[in-house]
Amino acid sequence: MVTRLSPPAWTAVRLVSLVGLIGAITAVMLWDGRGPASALRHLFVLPTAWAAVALGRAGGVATAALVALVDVPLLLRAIEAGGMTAEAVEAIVTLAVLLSIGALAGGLADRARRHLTRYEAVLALQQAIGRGTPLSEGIALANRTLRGLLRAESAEIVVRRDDGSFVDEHGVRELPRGSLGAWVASASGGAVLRDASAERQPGRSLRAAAVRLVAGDRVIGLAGAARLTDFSRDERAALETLGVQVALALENARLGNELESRVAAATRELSELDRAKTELVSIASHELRTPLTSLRGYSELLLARRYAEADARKFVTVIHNEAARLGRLLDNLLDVARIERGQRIELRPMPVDVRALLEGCAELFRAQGTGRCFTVAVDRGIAELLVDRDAMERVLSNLVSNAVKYSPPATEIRLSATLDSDEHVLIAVEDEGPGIPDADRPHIFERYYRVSRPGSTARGLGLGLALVKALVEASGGSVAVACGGGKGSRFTVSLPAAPGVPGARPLP
Amino acid sequence: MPMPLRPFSALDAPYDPLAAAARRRALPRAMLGALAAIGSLFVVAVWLELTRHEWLRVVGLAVGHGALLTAAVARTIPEWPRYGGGLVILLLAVGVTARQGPWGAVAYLAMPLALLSVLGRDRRLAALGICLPLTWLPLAAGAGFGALLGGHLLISASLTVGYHVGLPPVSRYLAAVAYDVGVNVLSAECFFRGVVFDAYQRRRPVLLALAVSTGAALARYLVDPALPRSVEAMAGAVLYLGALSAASCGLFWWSGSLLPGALAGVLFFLAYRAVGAW
Repeated sequence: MVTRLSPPAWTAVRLVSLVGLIGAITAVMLWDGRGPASALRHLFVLPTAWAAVALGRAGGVATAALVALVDVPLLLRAIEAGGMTAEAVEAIVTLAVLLSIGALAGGLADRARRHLTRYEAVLALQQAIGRGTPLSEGIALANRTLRGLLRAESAEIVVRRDDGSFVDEHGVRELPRGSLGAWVASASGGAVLRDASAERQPGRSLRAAAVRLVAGDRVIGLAGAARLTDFSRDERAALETLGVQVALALENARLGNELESRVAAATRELSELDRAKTELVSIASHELRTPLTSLRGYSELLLARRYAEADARKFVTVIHNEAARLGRLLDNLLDVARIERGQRIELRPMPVDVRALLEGCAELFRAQGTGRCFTVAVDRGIAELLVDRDAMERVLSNLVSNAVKYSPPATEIRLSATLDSDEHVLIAVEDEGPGIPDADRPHIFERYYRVSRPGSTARGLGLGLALVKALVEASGGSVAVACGGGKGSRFTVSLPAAPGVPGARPLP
Repeated sequence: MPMPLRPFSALDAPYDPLAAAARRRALPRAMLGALAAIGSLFVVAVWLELTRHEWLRVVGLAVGHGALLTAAVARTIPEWPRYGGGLVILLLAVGVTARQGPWGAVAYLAMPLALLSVLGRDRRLAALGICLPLTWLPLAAGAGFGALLGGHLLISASLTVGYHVGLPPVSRYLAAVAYDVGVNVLSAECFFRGVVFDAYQRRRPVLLALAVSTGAALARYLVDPALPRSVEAMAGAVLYLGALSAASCGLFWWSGSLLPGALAGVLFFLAYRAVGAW
């Protein structure tokens, strides 16, 4: 049965073998009788090289030192006996060569081991980052890997963003003015700083190294590390190479995350649009069906039998109003659809009598028997507007329709016109409803936006005010709303007053 | 592994490339100047000792070790003349006392106490490394290395024809040990590790600092008139004192304290004083 040794046990076996080999060679040299001048001293190369390859530079040098410790008493005795002879010098040179072999071969073995560890670590890191690790976790992982590879007290990577700022594992990373990082970020190369820590300790000081991470001709980040031992040129190059690989992997991960979040946002937006569309279809069906039900119901009543003229007139009025409402609804839908498609609505501005416009609108709603009291007030001196009549009628009917919808019965709805400036007339529609909540007010002119009030039965598609805004702005005016703290709403429309040259004004 | 330090960000470290370059350039000149001045004082001290005139030897010891200790104090305390003169005068007094008889050498032990007294009055001296390490491990390593090197020296000496191993008369042995503890090891640790190694490693690679410090310490011992002038003694001195000095640098770097290196030195010199020439 083969028993596999644990790493510490295996190291102990190797050390014992090493010491045994040195002891055996020494014993043979003693038996030889020629002391340190024996040609057998060259056999010490074997344990030295073995230790260097197996244990690295420290092992190689320690083994050479052990050989020296064993050899020196014999050497000193020989020097005492014969002075500094050629054989004694040869023996000293042999010890120096052994020390060099231990250091050089051990250094090479260390380097090969470092390269292997480095590539394995980078591979593992890239695989970890490639699995969709978030940027902050990726940077933290890279920092840990770098710290382990460089055997550093601390190591960190900061990734440069497109706007020139840096991020680390905790988020945005400020590099203090006059710091190593700030200098390297603005310089053309890296830098090494000895005695870097402000915390002074006798006999030792932190070394700090910082390099720029460059991919192509673009600086993609910085890498820095600090430790007590010096950074060799090889290690600085390794820091740079590793940093670039890690930063590229992080950059790819960041781009992947960004793409993923954009796709997610677009998907959310599409879902929202789909939901809004479904809701619109549902509301539109309901809105269209309500007047159609009235139309069908009253027309069937009229067809079924004869009614008194007053009753018949009442039924016909309802049919007329519902047909008008249906027409407005369809007009609004068609106009909004046209605006959404980017098509222009042709307006034909012409002089329009303000009082007649307001009175006509009030009369229209009075005739519908809404139960509200409509008053009209026009300042003296206001005669005509330069607007498209049809468009203005739809603007006013939308505003008044909203006022009717949201104000309680037996309240007053005021339509007024005042001079806003030399060139503009201010038309206001005021009601005594509950007003519009502050949170909703910025959005009420958006398409499909509806103010949700608990217990409210008001219907609508959320198109009226959007259309009002579009028509008023196309007419060269503006629309605004003000609320008096639960005491009604006041919509104001500012329109051009002075009649100019009539002509077509395209709606954007 | 070195003792741990607080978390530190390399990218946040204050950096002025011009000042750093100026510090690097200034170091060799300053250090060479200091070494030349102290070396000259040592040569004078050696010459004085070589005169074989009892009182001049006392002056030589005071000047030589006084220069090393004063330089160490000056490294951490800018107002060093306040203490430097006192240390040299004390060394003179200690030297005079030591010449009065074997037991008078106990007076050498006043020097560490004097340095502790300076430390008590001015804590800045602690930056030299006169403090206990954070753990006992460096002390154990220092003791182990000193014992190993000392033991090896005893084996080497026992194999060498012209030397023997054995305790000299107790009073003479203790006098020599008191000198090593109170002056020899103390001044070597304070100057060659506390000043030379520390200053170099802050501006140059650690290995270069180790080489410079070890080379300077070896030079100091090789010009010491107390060292036998035979080839094997010189070769042994280079080997043992070089290893001791290098190990002391390593222990200082590892622990941030001069005590482990001093312990190694004391243990080595305990063995060294047991070696005598036939």
